[in-house]
Amino acid sequence: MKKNDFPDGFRKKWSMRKKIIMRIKLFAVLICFVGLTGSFASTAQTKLKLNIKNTTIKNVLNQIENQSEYSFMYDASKINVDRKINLTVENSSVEDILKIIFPNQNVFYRIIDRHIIISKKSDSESGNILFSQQYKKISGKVTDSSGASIPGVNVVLKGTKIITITDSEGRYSLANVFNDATLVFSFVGMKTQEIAVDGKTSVNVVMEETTIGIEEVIAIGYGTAKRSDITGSISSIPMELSKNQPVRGLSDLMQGRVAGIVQTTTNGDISGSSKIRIRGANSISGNNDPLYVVDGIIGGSYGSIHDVASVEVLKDASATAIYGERASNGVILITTKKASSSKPVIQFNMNTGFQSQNTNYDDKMNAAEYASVVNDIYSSTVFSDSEISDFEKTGGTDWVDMVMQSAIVNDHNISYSQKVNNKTGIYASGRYSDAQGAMINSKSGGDYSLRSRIDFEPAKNLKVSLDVKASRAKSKNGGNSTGINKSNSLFQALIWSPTEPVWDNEEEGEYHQYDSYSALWYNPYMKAMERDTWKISHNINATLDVKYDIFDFLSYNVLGYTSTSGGDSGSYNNSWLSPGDESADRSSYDNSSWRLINTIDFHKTFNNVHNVSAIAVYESEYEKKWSLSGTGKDLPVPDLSSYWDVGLSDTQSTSSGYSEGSRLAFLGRLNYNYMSRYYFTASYRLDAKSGPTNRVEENKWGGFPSFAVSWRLSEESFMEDSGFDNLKLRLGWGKTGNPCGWEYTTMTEKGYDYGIGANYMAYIPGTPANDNLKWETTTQIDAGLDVSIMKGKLSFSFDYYHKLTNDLLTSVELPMYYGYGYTASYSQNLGEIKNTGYEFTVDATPIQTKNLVWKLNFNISKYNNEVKDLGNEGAFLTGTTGEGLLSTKTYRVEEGLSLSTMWGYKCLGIWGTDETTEAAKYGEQPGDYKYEDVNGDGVISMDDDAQKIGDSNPDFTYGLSSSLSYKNFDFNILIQGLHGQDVFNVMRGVMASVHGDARMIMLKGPGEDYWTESNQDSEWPNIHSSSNTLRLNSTKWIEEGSWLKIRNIGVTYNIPRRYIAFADVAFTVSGQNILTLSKYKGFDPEVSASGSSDLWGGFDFGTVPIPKRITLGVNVTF
Amino acid sequence: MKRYCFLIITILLVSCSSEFLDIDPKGTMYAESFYATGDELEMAVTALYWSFQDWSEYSDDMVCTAAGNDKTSNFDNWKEVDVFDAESDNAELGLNYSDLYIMINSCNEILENYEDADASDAVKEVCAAQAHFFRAMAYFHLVRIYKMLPLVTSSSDAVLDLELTDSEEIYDVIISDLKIAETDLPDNWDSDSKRAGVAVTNGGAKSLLAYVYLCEAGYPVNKDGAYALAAAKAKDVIDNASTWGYKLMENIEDLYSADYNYENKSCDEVVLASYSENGYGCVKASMPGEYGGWQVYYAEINFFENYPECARKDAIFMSDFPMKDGTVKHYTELASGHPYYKQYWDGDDSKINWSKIWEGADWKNGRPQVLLTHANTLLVYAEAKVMSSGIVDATAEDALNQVRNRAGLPDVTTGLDAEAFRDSVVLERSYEFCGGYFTIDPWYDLVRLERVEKSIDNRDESENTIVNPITKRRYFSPYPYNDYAKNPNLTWGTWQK
Repeated sequence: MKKNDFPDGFRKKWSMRKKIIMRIKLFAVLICFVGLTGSFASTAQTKLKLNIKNTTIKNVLNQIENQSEYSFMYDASKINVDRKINLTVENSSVEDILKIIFPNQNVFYRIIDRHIIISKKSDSESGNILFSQQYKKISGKVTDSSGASIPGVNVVLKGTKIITITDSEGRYSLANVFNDATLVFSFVGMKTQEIAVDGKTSVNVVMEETTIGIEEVIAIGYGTAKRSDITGSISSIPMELSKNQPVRGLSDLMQGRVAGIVQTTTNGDISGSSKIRIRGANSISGNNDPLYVVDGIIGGSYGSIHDVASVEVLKDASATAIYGERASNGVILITTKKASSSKPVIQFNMNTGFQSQNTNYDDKMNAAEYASVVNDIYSSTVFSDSEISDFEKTGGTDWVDMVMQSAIVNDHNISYSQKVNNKTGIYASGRYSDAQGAMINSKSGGDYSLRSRIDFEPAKNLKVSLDVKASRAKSKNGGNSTGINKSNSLFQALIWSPTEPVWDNEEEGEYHQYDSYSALWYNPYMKAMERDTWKISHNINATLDVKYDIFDFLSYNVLGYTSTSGGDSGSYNNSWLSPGDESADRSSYDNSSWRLINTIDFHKTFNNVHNVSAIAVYESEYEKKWSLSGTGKDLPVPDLSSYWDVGLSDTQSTSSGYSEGSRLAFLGRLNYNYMSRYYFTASYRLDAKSGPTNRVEENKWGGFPSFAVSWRLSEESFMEDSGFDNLKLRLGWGKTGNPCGWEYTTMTEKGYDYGIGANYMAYIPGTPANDNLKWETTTQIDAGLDVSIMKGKLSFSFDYYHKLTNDLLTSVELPMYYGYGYTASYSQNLGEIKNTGYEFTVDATPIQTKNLVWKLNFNISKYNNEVKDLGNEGAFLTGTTGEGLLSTKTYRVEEGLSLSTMWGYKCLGIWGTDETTEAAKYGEQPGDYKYEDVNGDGVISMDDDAQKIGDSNPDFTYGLSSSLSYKNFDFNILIQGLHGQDVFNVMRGVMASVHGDARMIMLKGPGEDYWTESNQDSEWPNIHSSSNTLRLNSTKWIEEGSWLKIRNIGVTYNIPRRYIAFADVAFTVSGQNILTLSKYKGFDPEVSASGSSDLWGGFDFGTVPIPKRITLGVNVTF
Repeated sequence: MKRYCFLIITILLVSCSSEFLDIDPKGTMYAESFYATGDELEMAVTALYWSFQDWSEYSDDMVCTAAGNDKTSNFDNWKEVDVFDAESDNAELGLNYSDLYIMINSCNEILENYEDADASDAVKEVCAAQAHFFRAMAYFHLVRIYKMLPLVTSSSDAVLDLELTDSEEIYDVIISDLKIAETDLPDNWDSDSKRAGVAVTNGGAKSLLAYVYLCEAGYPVNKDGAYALAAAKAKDVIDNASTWGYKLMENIEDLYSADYNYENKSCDEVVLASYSENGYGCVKASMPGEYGGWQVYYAEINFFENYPECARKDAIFMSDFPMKDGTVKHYTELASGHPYYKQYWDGDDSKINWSKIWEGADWKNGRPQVLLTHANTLLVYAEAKVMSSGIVDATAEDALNQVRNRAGLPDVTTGLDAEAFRDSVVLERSYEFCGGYFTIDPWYDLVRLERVEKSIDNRDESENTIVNPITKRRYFSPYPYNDYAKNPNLTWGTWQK
């Protein structure tokens, strides 16, 4: 029941008391309460103590409300609550007290759940509350399915503000009712019923308890379905659980909420993107990102995140195969909002966040400690005692603190929604957002998005909607300290000597440029401040959707979509970053695309038992991309020309690009169920993508079938009284694809001058192609069980899947006699990857009463990924050497291993003095690192001593989200965790070692507590050893990277209408990422320099950690 | 009625054409649709000249000749070859192999596609003829280095488990290609300003073919009748030399002088060379470090010391080196301790001041890289004529004497028997073509006459010590590891029982 459904006059007459008790501790316990053994109906036998003198009954009732969980409902005009009484009770029940307060009066009270309804017995005779005018009186009784009367049920005359509430005996009566009126009966926890009066004067209603969830209609591929009819594995994002979360993007909405998804944020930079993997990675060279479908448009844009109405995740092949060649990695279906209510709803949503970074690297030395270690390593007095004591006072330079900032993050949104009449709906919205970055001198925004959607019905059976979205986003200096670049500021800040100053001359703006002892690259503060890059992107798209109901069982739908998007970027390397070699880049791109989707939809029930629905779709799409870029070097007036005019340069280069592509698809699906018990679904998609004319004919079109069956045992007669609202077994099989790349043999240009200085165009066969290339195919089997009990207040879902990707695109390196030189290769479809896993989800509504609603979602999942076959391609090392920081790449792809397996040496510790002879075999001495010589040949080599040293795949992942609404307060929390994955902490390896790129130790342990003959138990090598071999690709730098994060925790206060009459106003205070539990020694185990790669992951290269944020939000709804 | 309208619309929309899916990539040249017009054929053929130049720049691709008598080296990959210890990982041998197969692939694509091009038959014919020529030239180099080869004459031949083909069959391909080239190539390219004097002519094809026959007559093919074919073909060139303007330069210095050899120019004696205005010549390859050279190779000491004193010796070798400090160092005083081949030092872009050599030498000197000279044709004729007939006739003697006299040497001794005359010719070849001819290097004479084993007897004691005993296997190079690892059929020396 919405508070604003009450007319004001009514509200004044009836007093609905609210308790405003914040028992925060209690709620914290409740929110975190995972076990479900608690009570769902809380009718605690509260014992009260009152000592009252000369007080009105009204106040007494207030006090009872304050001491108990009850709330009173009564008509103040009928019940005299202003009478003053004296009352002293102890250890009394509410009932006892009420008997005392209303002795011998004709007052009736009834307790329903926590509501106590007080009424005069005569009320039932003269129920009219609001109007004295008599048209036609209608009355009746509301009972539950067992026949017991229900007081407090809302009875509304549809389309008016006329309302009444059933009395203590469940009776109601309404005057001024017309013959063709409709009454709407609603009560918390019951199904709302609409009943036509139809000239009757008496309408009795039997209310049914709602069963949560299973009747809900959700989006599936090319349509919608009731949740109870779903045969595949589809998860819906529980939107109500994130209602008050300050969501900035889809990833905020999804993370931690769906089983079977591993979702991480790859860095805390403004450019930080989310990596989402549904049921593991399928491909080595292809894309592993899920397919996004917005309002039926593959690759569509949802505009503002606040316009997203629902998100469904299609996981198994029986759900995804309808998306064919692009569906191997799962499909995320996004449905946006449209007008639904005839009342105009205007909503303002304003969020401002304050973001901060923990810049304390736990065991990093301060300047004084560092200076002493420098003296020790050099075995001389580089820093004098007085300099060291100065450092003790000043602390030196905290470089990390210098390059990171506390930041402000804004997100403001306005939307208007109204169904003007039954035929026209309008939804319009606008959003502004911005964010300062975690790194200094970086920011994103102002980003804008606007949307307008109109739904109308120009004729009977004809529905048309037009949806137009436009957005624009900007960012400045993103990507400083993401990816692999040794000059990145955070990487450098962690290895720059704290003894070096930031400025040589701060007033003149002269940076200090060189680190004398440790780092080789730029002053990190200078790099961050002088960096000058920017990006702008924009998108406009429009969808026209026309649906015609040919018959009531057959409809035709045509959907047209067009989008244009583009962007600009610029960067300038000024004289600080590139002395004497300033350069500037400027580029832009422009993409346009269209889609046309024709759908015929059939659904009919035969003989009341055979439910058949089917769709047939023809889809086509086309896109075109242009790009243009220019670079200027040798700038005569560098700062003036910069990226503003790259033409103002002596050396220029330009390039441009063009590509186009098209697709066609035919697809169909048949759903059949017998009495909602036995379900059968089959789908088939025939998919084609544009490509070279000479590609092999049978690979032009790909067919992707799926089948699924399910059995709702709960509908069987033998299960009638079993207590299951839903018990369903699902079994599905299907094939999906992952597209391959370009298949032409491109020619390479080789200019030749015939010795006369003129360049003649010449082309040689460049990159070879494989005409036989086709998509990768993933075959997936899914077995699932859905259980829903206690009227849906508790439901479980379990899935097991087995995915095998074959025709895996692997690379064939070609012998040189093919005529393409040394490094030629082409792709072929030969290889296999397997993913298996389990998913378990619990959705519970432990408490659902008028004043207290508690919902929670818990999910946990596990996957195993294994490369089964690499075709002709041998095992290979992958990942990065970090610009030569590491001697080899440190991840390996090999048959039998999972993708993203870390590869290197096993560090066995430090050679002791009792192992002098053994160490000498390896040219080492006691105090040096000791590595495992696997084959015992006396030489440590990559060929035969490297082994698996870690795995960045988690053992399992989990998420817990909970929301609790208590009267005007909403609390919510979201916890996400990944367990059992390893992180390659290269950054720490560099900080703990004397290394070519960081010539000094930065950490206390290795700097101060290193191995000596008298300190043989140290884990750190002797810094004075000349024979120590540092191998960064060793287990020494592999850390357990398990983490648990509180992604969001917040409290919202909804201001009651009686304080602000014109609008619903809610205030929210929330924290994002405010707590991380992890043993990881770096800043953040979640981020990785590998970005979205699946061949390597969990690689800390001084990658920007995810900041903590406190957000204040105001939501105003008119 | 409205209902039917929608159905009709649907049907219209469904009527797709498959052309919608066949998209030609604009802005990208791709092999499947290239070679479709005369212009495209022309660009593909231009790429053959690029490929030819790319192969011959620097001196990497000469590495296989390091085992010869005339030169030696301390440069890793060269030294391996010099001491008969080359392995499959020898980078420069691999580069040579790779460059030549890139050229072969370019030729194959032209030859597979040219017939369908939208161009006149004359244009197509002459384009194809150039492709035949370069494919022959590439295989001719490869077959003499590896004996057996993965033979690819069409892109579909290239498969991962390709078997090796023996020399005889490869020579057949070479000869058949050159026969087409000598027929279809023009006498000159005077009507095409960019190719004039630069591109390959029927004279070049005939000259190369004569030499191919000579090589085919020797080891390992030992083809009967090949000497006669070589003599006939060489005679054809010699008799018609004026058609192409071939002649010996009067002064041997002019053969090498930058005045006659730069950019798109070379002297009348040069039959085949690659040209580039700003190409990476091999000037620095044989130049002492004292002048900033790379000293990739230099003259073998005994070869130099035994070389007959004459104008040719002065034109080719440098043994006394003017230094910046005004002194002149004998080669024994150099860090490398060897005389150097100086015949290619002079370049147009970096004109050598012979008294201040350290000032002018540059690795980019725009100098043509010479493969064949008319002197070679004369010597092919002299040898082939005598070996095919068994009689030392006057024409053979005359051909040899033309080369000797121009070098500053007297006529060959008369009255030699055929074998002895042949040896005189071969010795003359080694003097004439030492130190940096890609195609006619004296090394190949050692191979075809099976004289490699003996050749090492002449080495100066101070030279690199030979590592491996010389067997017939060591006449040929191991296949690059890159290919051997992917196709084990490419195992070195499989022909040895």
